[in-house]
Amino acid sequence: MTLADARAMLPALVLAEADIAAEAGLLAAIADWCRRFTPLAALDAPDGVLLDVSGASHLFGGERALLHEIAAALQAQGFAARAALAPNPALAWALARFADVELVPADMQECGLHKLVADLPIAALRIEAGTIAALAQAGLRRIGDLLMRPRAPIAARFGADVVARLDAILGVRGDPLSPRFETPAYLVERRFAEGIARRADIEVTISGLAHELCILLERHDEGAREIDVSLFRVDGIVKHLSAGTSRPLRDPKLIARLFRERIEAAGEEDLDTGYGFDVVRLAAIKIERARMPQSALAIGMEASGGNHSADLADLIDRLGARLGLWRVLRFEQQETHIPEFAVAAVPAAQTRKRSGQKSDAEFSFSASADLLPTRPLKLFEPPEPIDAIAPVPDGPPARIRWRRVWHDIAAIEGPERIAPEWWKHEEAALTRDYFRAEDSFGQRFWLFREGLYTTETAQPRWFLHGLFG
Amino acid sequence: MSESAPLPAPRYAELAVATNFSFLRGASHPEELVAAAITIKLAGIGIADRNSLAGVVRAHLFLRNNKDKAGKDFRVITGVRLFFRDRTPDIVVYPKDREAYGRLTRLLTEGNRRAPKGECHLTRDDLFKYIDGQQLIVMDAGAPDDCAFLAKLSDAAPGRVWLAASASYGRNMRADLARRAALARTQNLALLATNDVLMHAPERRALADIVACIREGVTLDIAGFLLEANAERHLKGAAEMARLFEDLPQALDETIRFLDGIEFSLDELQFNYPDEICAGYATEQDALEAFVLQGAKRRYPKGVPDKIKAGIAKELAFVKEKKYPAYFLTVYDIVRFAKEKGILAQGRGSAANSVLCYCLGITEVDPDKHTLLFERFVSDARDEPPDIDVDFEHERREEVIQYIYGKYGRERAGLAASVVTYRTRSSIREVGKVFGLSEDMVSALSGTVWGWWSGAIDSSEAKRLGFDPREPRLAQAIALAGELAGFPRHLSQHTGGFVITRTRLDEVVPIANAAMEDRTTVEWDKDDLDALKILKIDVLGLGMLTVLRKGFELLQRHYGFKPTLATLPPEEACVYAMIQRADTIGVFQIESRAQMSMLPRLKPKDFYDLVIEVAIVRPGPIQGDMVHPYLRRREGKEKPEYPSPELEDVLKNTLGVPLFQEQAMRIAIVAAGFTPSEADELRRAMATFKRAGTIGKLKTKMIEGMVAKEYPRDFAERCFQQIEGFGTYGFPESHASSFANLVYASAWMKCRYPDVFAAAILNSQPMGFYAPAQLVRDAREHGIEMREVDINESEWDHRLEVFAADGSKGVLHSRHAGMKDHIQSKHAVRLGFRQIKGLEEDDMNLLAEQRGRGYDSVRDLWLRTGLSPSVLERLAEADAFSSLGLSRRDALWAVRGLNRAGDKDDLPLLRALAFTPLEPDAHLPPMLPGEEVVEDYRHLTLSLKAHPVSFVRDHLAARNILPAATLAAIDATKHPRTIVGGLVLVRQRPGSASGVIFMTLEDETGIANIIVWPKVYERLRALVIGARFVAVTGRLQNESGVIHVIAEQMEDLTPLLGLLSGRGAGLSALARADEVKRPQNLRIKADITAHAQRLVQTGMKEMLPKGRNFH
Amino acid sequence: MSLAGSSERIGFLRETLARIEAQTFPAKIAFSLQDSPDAATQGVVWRSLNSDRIALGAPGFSLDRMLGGGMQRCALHDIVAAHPRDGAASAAFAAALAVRFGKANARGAFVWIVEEAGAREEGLPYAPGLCLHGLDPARLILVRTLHVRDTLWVMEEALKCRGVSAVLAETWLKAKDYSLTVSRRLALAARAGGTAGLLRHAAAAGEADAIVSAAATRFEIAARRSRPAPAAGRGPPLPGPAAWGVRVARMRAGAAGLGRALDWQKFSDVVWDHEETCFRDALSLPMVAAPRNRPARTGAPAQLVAIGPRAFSYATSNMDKDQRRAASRVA
Repeated sequence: MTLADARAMLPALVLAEADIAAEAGLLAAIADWCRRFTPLAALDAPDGVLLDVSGASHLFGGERALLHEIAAALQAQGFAARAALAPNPALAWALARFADVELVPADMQECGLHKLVADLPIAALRIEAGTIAALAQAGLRRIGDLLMRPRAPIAARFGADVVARLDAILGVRGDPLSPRFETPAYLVERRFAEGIARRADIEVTISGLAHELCILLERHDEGAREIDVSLFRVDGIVKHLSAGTSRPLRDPKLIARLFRERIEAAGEEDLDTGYGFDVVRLAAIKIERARMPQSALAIGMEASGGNHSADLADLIDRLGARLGLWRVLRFEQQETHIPEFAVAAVPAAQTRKRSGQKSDAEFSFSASADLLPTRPLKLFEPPEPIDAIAPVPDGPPARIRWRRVWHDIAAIEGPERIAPEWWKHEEAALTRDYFRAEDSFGQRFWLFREGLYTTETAQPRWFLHGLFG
Repeated sequence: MSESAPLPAPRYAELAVATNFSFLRGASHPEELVAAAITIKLAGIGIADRNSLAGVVRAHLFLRNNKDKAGKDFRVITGVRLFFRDRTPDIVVYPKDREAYGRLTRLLTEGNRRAPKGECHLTRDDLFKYIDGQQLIVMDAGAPDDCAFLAKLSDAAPGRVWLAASASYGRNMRADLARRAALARTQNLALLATNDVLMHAPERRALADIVACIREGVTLDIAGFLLEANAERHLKGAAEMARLFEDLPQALDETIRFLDGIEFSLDELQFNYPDEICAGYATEQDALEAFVLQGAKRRYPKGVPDKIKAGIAKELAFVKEKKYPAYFLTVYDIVRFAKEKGILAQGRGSAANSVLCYCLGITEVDPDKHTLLFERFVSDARDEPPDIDVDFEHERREEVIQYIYGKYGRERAGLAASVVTYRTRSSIREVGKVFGLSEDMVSALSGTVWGWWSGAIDSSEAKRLGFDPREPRLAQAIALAGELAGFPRHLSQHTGGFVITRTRLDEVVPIANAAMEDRTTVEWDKDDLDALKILKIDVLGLGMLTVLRKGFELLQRHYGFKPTLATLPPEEACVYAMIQRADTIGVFQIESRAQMSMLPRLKPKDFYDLVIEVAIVRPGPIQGDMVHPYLRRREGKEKPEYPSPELEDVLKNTLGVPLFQEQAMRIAIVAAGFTPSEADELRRAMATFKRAGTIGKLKTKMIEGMVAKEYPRDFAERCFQQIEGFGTYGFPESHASSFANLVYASAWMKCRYPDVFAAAILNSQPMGFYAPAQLVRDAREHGIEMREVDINESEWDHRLEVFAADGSKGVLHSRHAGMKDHIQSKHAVRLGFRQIKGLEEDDMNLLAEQRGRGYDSVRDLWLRTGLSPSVLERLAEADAFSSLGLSRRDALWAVRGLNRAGDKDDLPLLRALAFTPLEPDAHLPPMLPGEEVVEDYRHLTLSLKAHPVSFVRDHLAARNILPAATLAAIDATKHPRTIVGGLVLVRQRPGSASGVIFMTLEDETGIANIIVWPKVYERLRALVIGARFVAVTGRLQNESGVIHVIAEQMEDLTPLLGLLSGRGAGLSALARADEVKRPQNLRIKADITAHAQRLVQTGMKEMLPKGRNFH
Repeated sequence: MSLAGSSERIGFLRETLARIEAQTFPAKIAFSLQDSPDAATQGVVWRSLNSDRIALGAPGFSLDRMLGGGMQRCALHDIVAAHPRDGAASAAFAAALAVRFGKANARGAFVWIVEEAGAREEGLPYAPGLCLHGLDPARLILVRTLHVRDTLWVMEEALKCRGVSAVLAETWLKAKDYSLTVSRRLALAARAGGTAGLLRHAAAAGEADAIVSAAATRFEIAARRSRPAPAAGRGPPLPGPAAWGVRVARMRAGAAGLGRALDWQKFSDVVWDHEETCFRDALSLPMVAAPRNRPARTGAPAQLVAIGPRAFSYATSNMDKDQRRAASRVA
């Protein structure tokens, strides 16, 4: 159904666009959460997470208990989830979506398995919609319809893929469709019966884990280039801290310090320990064969040449921390003729947004577009009221009085007429005529007359809006 | 101080004006700009749109019609603003004289022809090529000052180059003026003041911003510097310009000097018609006379009646005086060409008023039998060229068009443009986007507008949707959308208006590429061409002519005689009897719901009644409330009354009710004292939406004129109302006659040879009001056997097969029992491959050629034709293998089993051995009958096996839902309430019916007509629009055989259709009836995948035809 | 802060200072040695010093000559208005200097510190105007401080940051509160970070000679009438490009032998070419009313008009009383 059709049927229909990114993010968060049960948890977009719990279930009191724990915990968090556990990923995928059976023991007899699978609809094979439709056209709707028929004709008509998927769901062959697990190279973890919440405890734990990790690295003569700390909070939130290193690292002290600084930088609030963390995991994501340390000189060069932007970010963070974010600012151009809105000052720490839009906060005023600067160096906000002597209706002022001093205008450009933005509905907004004026001392002002004489107002008022250098 | 002597008032002409034909730049209509220029007393105005002359005629015409208000010296001059693709500044160009004008149009034509449609690519070299005789204004925008270029320009156009300067209120206003003045001094050029105008008044600023946003595809909030900072680019009066150019007063004087240099006027273009071949005669007039006399003899073999002779003489004399013979010869030649190629053609419109056209074979309405008004065709008073529109078969019109291009060349022939304007719906959509209104809000607002009306959005409608129309942003959006409606959006090609000229056409008007390959259009539309008296010929496509030609050919092949439009047996009573019963599915013009409900009341009994029938069911007469009085008088319930004897003359034929355009005009002449040209102006004023014009004045004039002649005021107002309706929707009588001719021809064929008619109309799809399923059903009810498409029997087209060796006839549905003796059909119709979605004609021709004595297996077919398995799959899905004893499912299995990759290599070997590899039997489950029907619908858009509803009849019966066919037998007075159910075929909400919705339901027994009143519609909206299969409870109404159910309740039965297959998942979209409207093969690919996905994801809803919506 | 803590701090500072001063030169040699290992030590030092100077204008620009080849990049510079009304002019001059420094270090940010008092008095930097001045607002970080104390802290932190090319602070610090200690801290930070520090003393207009500072240079800035362009008709003329009178009020003997010939009281008139982003002497200015975007120089020759003595005398005759007093004091 098209939107227009739906609209026509139900004019008051409320429309919400699918937020695909948010959904994907949520699924990723769920997958993340699942990693508390096993590090082998993979995102199975668009709507699933696949866990390899081989060897992990005993930690949770057996497969059924594990399954129930996962399902119950997800439900408690407000998700409608279906979970199934099976000897192979294809079957687990199918059961979670198309069957009431939720647990198939690894040692199930072949005939039992066949019987179970036969009742599933073809779609449970996770094959293309077009193939499902073609099979339905031939009257084949359940997996059993395929199982009871010779395979060669089916493969000839609907592709070898169908047969391969049949094998996968029966566990005869591996499953090419299953998502790949991204396994860290090395992983150590610690579990706690009660969540730990104190920063010191966390740091000690990481430090201990760092030792364990480094023993592993040492054994294989490798060093970590990217290290990740995962903190699983009791209530399901997972915090990640990651650090890249400029060289392969396997010094537990350095690793521990790296994360101490990260935690410091994140700050107590950001870490948000809540009820505490019950699992702390340290993983070396990327490793490299450890090399001889480089010469100190080369490292020094690298440091001085390479990381200036990090220095700057650091500076901004520190200034912001001391003065407040809204005192350390950068500018973003706004697409408007109204001078005071033509630029927005935003915290420099805030990342650039609006990247998808036409103007990417890049300033489009180029100096060459104008013979002379047409906008002042400094702007008064709000504009300062002044007196001016100028001919009607829109002539340039000859004298102005600003802060009780009269200035004789010796050179002037204008009027530059800027009308209010009619679609903003500011009742009082009037058209402005801007002038660039230079007085007899070389002081340069940016002035405007507010209101068009007679059409908008009988008494235009004058303001000084800025100063040129 | 002594008072200084008053200075002479400054004079000023604005010469750089962009209208809204500078698409999405200009913010005022050309008419508005000229009107404003007149009001503020400019010396003149120059229209210069961006690389286009599309708006100049309207400006020119506005002045012509408002000479009295403009000062006698006020001028509108014609130019163009050239926008270059190299770094050349914009240059406004005005031709001094006719020759220079021709060069300008050639310049634009070159730019257009090398660019994609809608664009014009120019460089400065083009300008230098055509610079002779042009006056140039170098604008101050878009490119840097380039002294070398200016010097070169002065050399090429000495004394004809001006440098524009604007007091623009921009960032460097004074510096810019100083710079331009200095540049003019150093380059020795004259400085010319202009305001570089985008709008006629500052109030248009909002709309100017809106169109800029639409152009750039941004919302107001982010448009920023794409918008002008202020509203200054509007027309300004001489005093204001003098103030702004206080320091440069000569810049104003230069505008007058510039204006004085232009001699050219668009009026010089008129009457430039090609010399025609005289075929051996001394003059074109002689040739025309000879052809007419030959034709007259052919038309009246028994002798030309005196009335005709007189008519011929009168018209020939007129044509001679007006020097139109070549025009008639051109049309004659085109029609002659069509006839030679066997393309059916017939003149329509006012040309049917001409005896000459009848004799030349251009029209088919016998002037001997009808009163024709030559004056409606061409009138001395109107002093406008005649306008002959000719319909050709829609499938073969392209041949005619290419013939014209071939004969006259692209330099002399082009299609007229049609100006596509913003309608309410599109404007609210665009404006809403610009305002950043949410997608659903915009959809809801534009959804309130059904159809194409160009009126404003009703604020009460907005309120009903839950929006507050006083919310300022919304209110503004709605108001601006109203302002934008009527703005030109882009130029498109007119359906077939050809302009042909003696001299090069590209020296009359710029020519541009059309969207279709091999087509070129001029920049002016029909009305522009008319106004400039440039002759044009409408070459239109008409589906019914295709049907008739195909029908005539079938008659010749299978029944041994070939009629023509002129030789059909006239006035057969059985044909009228059929029409009176509204048995008119497929018949030209009178097949629509509204027409069909009128037929039993009007009971047409002769040709003139058909003429009235064609003309009466039109929005014009309906809006003018002319229909009911006519019916009452015809049924004898009311006596015709004539307000005066002079009007009796005019209205006698139509019982005192004006139904035709000619009558409305003659009322204005006879009763309100209009001159004929005023009457025509009146008609035209209505015809074009939103042209700034004179409607109000004419309305007063007509009504007061009639009141002064002592006609009742309400009668006068009704007459005016009707003319208002006619403007856009009325028919002239001559046109109605031409159409009635086709009504009779198609009804005759349907009545006498329903087999021929069915095959011909199915072979001409897509066209008309009904989908193939309904046409097939109708044919079957008329006793025609329809046979399944089959690989061993069918061809691409539907064809006729001998029905029964013994000559027996098929069985008629009881409804049509009376036709038994009139039907002369002896054939069955074999459905052709064209009915199967997704097949190519070439493939199927190959299949038919290679068939020999028939194919004996899927593999045999594949090997002998070499067609790809996907084509065979299509055939199998359409169940076309039944002659091999293969069910749809088995055939598909066999096709899919063709070893695609392997067999290709083995092909020669296999062909030699005719070898079929053994494969275990698959034992596929058989398809349920309901499933078969659904599959038929999906692949053929119809099923010969059964109607889907028949499978659920038991369920319906259990709930007292009646078959549609039984409604006629029910006494409506005794059983006022009934329930009927069926598939929704059509939903229609005519603009003239104030919100009433007509639904047509279909079940296995027939059709039921439902009326949904607006109040009920509000309640049942979702069902009315969304359901595919409904049950309607309501009041039964039977008015002289026209049966309606007035809906009170409605229930969605769509889920019931899941029963058809036993399991839901096997079903999918039955043919969507509205696909008939679109070329089907374009959608195949999308269909297949989309369909497959739907199959998995969606429920019952998608399985059934959506029903077609008509507005 | 306790007294003990403060003295401890001062001690720490002194140490740091000594350490940095001791380190600077060898570090430079080390870098330069890599460039050309064969060069004599003395020459290398000179060149590295030289390359650490930023020319303000085209070769031959008078101010560059006075400054010995340009301004020191990794140093602190004081900027003072000649008169309260020259505040905006001196800010613009400082911003122009920052543009020059930014040019030399294309990847660095420019930090501009404004105190709230200054924002009220002189307005806030306006990005579109800066942009037209030649300064890329995308590289600008504006820091708004409440107090002088914050200003100095931010300036020091920013100067130490290697991702920053220049820091401009506009402070309402009283001249008497400014000291050798304060300025030396900033100077050290500038040297450590390889950053230019520009400190505009907004509250000290006219007191250029009274300030005690460890800055490498000190400028006094006065607004000047631009050379006006004629309008199309009779109206008043059009303002031209920004022009300033610049006096080098003090220069540390960074390079021996320079500044001897300097006239410490002389105002040089300079203009800012915002398109080329360089300073020019007011005498070598192309005509303002030349057609936009550099026309192809055919046809009439482009109009180069030497600045007339009238305009010059106009400017000087309008020199205000304080300025004249200052001039006479010097004399």
